[in-house]
Amino acid sequence: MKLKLGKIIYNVFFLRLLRRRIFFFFSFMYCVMFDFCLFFEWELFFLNGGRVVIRLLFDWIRLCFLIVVTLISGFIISYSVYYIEGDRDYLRFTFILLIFVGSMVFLIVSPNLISLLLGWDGLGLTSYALVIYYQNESSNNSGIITVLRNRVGDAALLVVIGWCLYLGSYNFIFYRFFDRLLIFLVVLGAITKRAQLPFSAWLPAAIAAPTPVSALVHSSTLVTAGVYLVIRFRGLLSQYKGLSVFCFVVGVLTMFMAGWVANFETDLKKVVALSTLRQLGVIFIILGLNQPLLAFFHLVIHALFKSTLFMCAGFLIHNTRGRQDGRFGGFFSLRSPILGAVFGCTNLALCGFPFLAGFYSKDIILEHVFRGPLWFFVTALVVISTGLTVSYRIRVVYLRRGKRGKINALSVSRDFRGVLLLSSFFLFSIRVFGGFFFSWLILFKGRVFLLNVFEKFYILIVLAFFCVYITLFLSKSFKIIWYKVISHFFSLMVYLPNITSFVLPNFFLMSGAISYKRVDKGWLEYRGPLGLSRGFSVLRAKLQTSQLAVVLTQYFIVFLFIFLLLFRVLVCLKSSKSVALKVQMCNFTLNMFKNLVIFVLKGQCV
Amino acid sequence: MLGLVIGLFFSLFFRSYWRSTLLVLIIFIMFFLFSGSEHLIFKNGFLFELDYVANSLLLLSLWVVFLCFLSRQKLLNHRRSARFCFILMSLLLFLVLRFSFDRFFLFYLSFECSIIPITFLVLGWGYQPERTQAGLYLVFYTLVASLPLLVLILISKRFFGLSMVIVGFSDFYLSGVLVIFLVGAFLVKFPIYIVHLWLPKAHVEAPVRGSMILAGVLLKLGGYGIIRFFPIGEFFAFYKRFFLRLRVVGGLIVRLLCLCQIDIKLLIALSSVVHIRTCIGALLCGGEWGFAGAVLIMLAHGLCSSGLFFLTGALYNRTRSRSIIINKGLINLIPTFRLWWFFLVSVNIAAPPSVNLLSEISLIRGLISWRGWIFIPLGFLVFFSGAYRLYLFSLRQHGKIVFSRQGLVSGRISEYLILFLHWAPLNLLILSVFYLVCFLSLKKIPFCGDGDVVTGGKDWRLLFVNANYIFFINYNLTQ
Repeated sequence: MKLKLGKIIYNVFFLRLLRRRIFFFFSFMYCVMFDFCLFFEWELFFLNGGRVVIRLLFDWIRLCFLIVVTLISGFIISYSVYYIEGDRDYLRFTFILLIFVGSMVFLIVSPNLISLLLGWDGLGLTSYALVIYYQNESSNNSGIITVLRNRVGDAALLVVIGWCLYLGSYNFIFYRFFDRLLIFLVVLGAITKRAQLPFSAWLPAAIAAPTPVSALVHSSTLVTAGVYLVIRFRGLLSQYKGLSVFCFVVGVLTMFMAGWVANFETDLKKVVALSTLRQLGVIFIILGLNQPLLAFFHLVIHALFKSTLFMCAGFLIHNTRGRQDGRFGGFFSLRSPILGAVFGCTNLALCGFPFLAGFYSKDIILEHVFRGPLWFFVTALVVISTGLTVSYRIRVVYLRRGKRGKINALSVSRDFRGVLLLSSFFLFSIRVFGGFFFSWLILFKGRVFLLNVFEKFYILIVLAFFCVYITLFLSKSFKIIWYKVISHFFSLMVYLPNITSFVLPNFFLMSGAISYKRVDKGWLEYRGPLGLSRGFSVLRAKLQTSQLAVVLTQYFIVFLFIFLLLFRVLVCLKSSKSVALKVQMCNFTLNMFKNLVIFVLKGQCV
Repeated sequence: MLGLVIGLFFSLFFRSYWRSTLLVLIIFIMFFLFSGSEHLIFKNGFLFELDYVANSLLLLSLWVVFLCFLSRQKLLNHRRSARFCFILMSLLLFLVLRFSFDRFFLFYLSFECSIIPITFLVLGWGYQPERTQAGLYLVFYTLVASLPLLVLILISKRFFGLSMVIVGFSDFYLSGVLVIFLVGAFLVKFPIYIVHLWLPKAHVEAPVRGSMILAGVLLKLGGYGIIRFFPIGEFFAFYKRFFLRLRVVGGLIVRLLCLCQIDIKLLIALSSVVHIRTCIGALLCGGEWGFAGAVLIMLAHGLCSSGLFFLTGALYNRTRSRSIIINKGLINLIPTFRLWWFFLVSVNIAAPPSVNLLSEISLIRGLISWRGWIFIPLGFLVFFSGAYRLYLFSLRQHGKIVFSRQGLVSGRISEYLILFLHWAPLNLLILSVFYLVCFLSLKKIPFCGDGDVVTGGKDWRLLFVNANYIFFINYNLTQ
């Protein structure tokens, strides 16, 4: 009973996604030109003033994003033919991947929170299933980290939905005014999904997934879901200045941290993941400056080049026999010149080389930052982290293309797989030309910035500095004494994973274990029903001893004696006349009685 | 209704033919599904009444018992199997009676009677000394708490002798300690934290089908009781705060406990304590949304946890262990089971297209309407409930395999069928959820053709529009 789906499944789904993409492309053009949007709604039920409705909305932003998602996922599915080749569970892989893409699409087109949650949770769970695709402990741990971080965001969103229902409607596009707390929760959800600073440990951990998945996750689906959520809430977000500043600061810190850490990372995929983290920081900054359209533009561009980078990385990993260490990846341009060129150009685009895709978004974003009413320190951080980007890019290219790398004595490289070249090269060409295209379409109004000359050349100065620095660094003539400490600190991501996945869980697990031992097994059970039954058994033992034959005969004799005595006393009392005698008799009787009782009790105890 | 009860009673005598019992059950389920709860009270005759809560719970119990019968695979010992059939059918009879009686005393009677079969189930299949303890815990916890209720019912028989609907209309309220007596019986059955100890013990010792029934239906008795006795008390007003605090703190503690367990059954049992906890909170203060959420979560949790117990049983049949550590690394051995684990666990953590999600949302909405600050513990609770279920899932599927047994049978088709029958209703019911919980609000939906109110999509509400009449029950639920 095996499904008769072979490798053809990739082609089938690739073509399907291609068809979708063409459809989305034309509808996107239509929407942009005629300012058209489409709105579906389906009511599930209605209770006490709150209605649970599935709504779908198609407008040009969503269609543009849909184009990108279907484009990238289509090519990634055709790339998986190359990458998952020979794996036993490729069907499982492909189906989960498709569900993943489907839930992303659902997330994109939903304007209300409940249908958004459908995509949101779907993304979380399928990404978990994809991260734990390989059966080993480390991928399991990465999966747990990923899914639990995402769960924080889910919890926040669930609470927001409940609260919105309480307020009346959870269709956030209809809200003109929102509670500050709710917006904060939405931002929290976005932060967890897109791995901003307190929650950023999962993004590098999630590279345990197969490389096509990482390409999809990092470029256009999972991490962008959070951005997308914030873009959707832009109208509400911009009302609160504090939150904007919060977004900005978080973005800057994440960007700086990621850029810095990436300079010390040797794992190839992790470097790419950290660069994603950095780009997300950039997007968050621009959201903090209330420029959601620009953020969206950068998101699209970033999606385009990040997927190609991961494709190249996957190729390299295959060629170095599954090693992800960048130091083994030398001679890339010798081994596979075409992909080497693609890789180099992508890196250039990421650095923001003029007229490649990255240039169009990054330049505008940085000028926005300089123009914005911000204090010097933050601006300096932004500039420095831009320089850091360049430095780690150059470092990667150097490691990859230079001749210092270690390779095996016998290494075979197969560059000329048609699928591989098709997928990576097509995305490459889009990256070269997509910059113009999307900038014309999305930012059609144009932007004007007033900067002084020095501000305009900030970036160039910093870039030059970092180029020199990294070259010196790589050629090892630039030595720092406490280099080891620093590199340990930074290559473990500022100890962030240690804190969030050892210290916090340990605290909760310990408290759970203690409460299980003390409260559940102790107070509630040992002192509770068991203690009660112990008490009762002691009582029962006493009662049983009281029913022994010796005790019973004692009782019998004593009671007989008392009875006779009382009888005698009563007779005396009745016959005598004097009061004094009566009193004396009574006292005597009572004393006798008391002594007898004491005697009996003592005997019983014995 | 009477027909159903009589039919069940007679089916007790077919006890040695479990296949025919299965057939009878299917017929009953069909009968109920097609009769539906189009009217709020669709039978309100002598001693019996059914509203939508009772109706959906009745369906649930029929369904779970049906699945229990289906999950019998081998008939090794004929006499034991006959006894098993008898116990299950008598349990079902008491459950049906209990969900359909309209007098409080009869309700109480069938409430307590349903403990007898489940005690036999816990005690009967095995010979460990722990079983005796589990049975004792079960009987004593539930009886000690519910005997005061009996006294209460007998004392104030002027009101409790009436049918439940009419009591709902009268202005008879209880207050003070009597409320504790009244509600305590149900809280122990539910069970609330502190008095929950009987539940894990019973689950661990019961056979798989016993735990399926216990988690599927019997835990819902408490909730049903609270719903039924709700009209009599504005009673929770005094104790609400106390109960809610207990709920929040206890909920966190139990979730943390779940993270430390290595016995799968124990973990699932404790997780059902957690589920029920939210349900109580929403019932106490949730208003109509919380009420709907509580009914929904009773349904959803019943099916879901019963499915999880069945899966645990299927694993136990293969590896002879319930320990997470011994059952590690099953992804390569039985991959299809992993799929089912994933489905059921994801339904259990309220993944989207499931009734669990809807119930969780409405519970949150209900609780937030009580106090705003409660969203903080609620967020924690949602997070941790996801955490321990994923822990349950991941720790078992990955890692090194313990080859304590040399051979493993892969999943059987019948097992997949049962799992599917657990999982599918949870995801399909979302399409017809108003059919289960919100008949009270159907009257607010205008007739189709009234203009542009109905927008988009195929309008299948038209089918149920004729349910607009008969709404004469009012649960006093809105605050």
